[in-house]
Amino acid sequence: DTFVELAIRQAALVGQAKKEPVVLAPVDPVEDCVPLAVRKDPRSITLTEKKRLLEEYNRLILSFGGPITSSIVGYAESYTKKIFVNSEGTCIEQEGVDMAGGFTVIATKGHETQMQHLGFGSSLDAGVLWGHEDRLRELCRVTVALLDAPPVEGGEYTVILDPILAGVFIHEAFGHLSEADNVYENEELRALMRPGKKVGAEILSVYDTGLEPGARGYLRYDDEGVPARKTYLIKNGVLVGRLHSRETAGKMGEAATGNARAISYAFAPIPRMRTTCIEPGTSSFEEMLTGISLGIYAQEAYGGQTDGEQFTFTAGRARMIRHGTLAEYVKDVTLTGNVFTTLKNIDCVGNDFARPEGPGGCGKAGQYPLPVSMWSPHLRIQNVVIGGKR
Amino acid sequence: METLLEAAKKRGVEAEAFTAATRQTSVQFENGRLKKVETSLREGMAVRVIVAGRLGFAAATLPADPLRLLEEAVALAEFGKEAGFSFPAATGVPKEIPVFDETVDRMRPEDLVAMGE
Repeated sequence: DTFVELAIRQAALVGQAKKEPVVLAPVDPVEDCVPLAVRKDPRSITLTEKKRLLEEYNRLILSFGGPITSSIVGYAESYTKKIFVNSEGTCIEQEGVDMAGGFTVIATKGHETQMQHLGFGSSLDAGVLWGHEDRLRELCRVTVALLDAPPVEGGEYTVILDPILAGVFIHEAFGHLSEADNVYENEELRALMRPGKKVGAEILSVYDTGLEPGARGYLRYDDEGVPARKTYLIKNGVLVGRLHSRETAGKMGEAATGNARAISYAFAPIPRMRTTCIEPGTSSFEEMLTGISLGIYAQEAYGGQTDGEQFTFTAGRARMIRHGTLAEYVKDVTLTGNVFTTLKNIDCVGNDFARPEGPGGCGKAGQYPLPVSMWSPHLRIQNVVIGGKR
Repeated sequence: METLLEAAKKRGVEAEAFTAATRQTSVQFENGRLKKVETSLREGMAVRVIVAGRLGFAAATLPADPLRLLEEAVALAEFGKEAGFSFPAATGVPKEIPVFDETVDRMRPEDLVAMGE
């Protein structure tokens, strides 16, 4: 058997089991070449130089001294050349680089251990390797401060999410629900994710795009040769779109969005996110703080879980907000709730849109790590349930 | 592989080479219906070297240029872990160890689907 014959036989097997035939959403054939367009090519920096840089960062962390006992410093880069052809006449050649790294600072005092992370990444500029000294020193100070932080008192609070946590929240809790392969065979989810439904506050707009140069989620064409266009998921609180492969778009009678991605040639493309963004609003951070008599400023994400509409996230660090100002650090801040209720409870969207990047990537159906980005301004949310001590 | 080992020997580098060819077929059912049948074939080569007591490693899918792989592994050895050991010398180990079940090799995607049903 040739490769093609094997694929055809396998398609026939799956086809016999399907109720309806697979119809790929129509797209215009494309002939294009996307050459590498970088500001600074990571391959132009020697391995020796990269190692020296990382060692300096490591020394900086460990020389902070006191309770800082350990560190993790990591960096990875890749260069990829992809060629895509199909029987409809599409032929696309794309080159790209991906760079990402991160630092972990670990402090120990008695039985207490605290850990903080800092990340960076780019698809455009190896310059991101430099200039993390000040942020690292600040990270060391925060890690040490957290050792003496009391656990948060559980309850319902007004919470401000920093752009990193807001980005992780929208990616994990809402973005994955927008992936059409998760939706189209799940009646319950399909009803929940009905276009035209109000799913969030009116000030909330969310989109996913491949077209942000520099983002790790940058992508001109997806792995089915579809232009990776900007796709609104939520516009002014209303659900307006979702993330499609040609198969899911064809199945649901919608347009392909350029979200079909594969981790490598050894996997079939499936709907994935690229750069998922919460559109900036009008509030300044100070305006958000004003009027909060007791609240929480939750920063960074330390991990979390989602199960349908329900989510649980742990903030990387957090501070109390008292009488409109940032107060003491608290630890063990875990946010939990229903994603749609939470999106409706957003009452301020910041004007301070941020473009954080970090190491790792998104995982789905055994395909990990896929480079993605999550960009957002600060968000203020009312009535968030925070787990913790009573 | 011979080219690679010859080149390593000439440079006085301790080396081991490894190739593997894998064919993997997976069949997935969801809600009582066949959902996915996929086959992936992968062939790759890896080389590990010890240079000045440090380990270097490089791998690539085939077809690969063995000499370039060797170059990469040697370059990376400068930053590698200290080995603290040598690769084993040639011994009388049999070249083929009979742990292979040919019925697995004969399985076709159709057989897997039938089993699943």
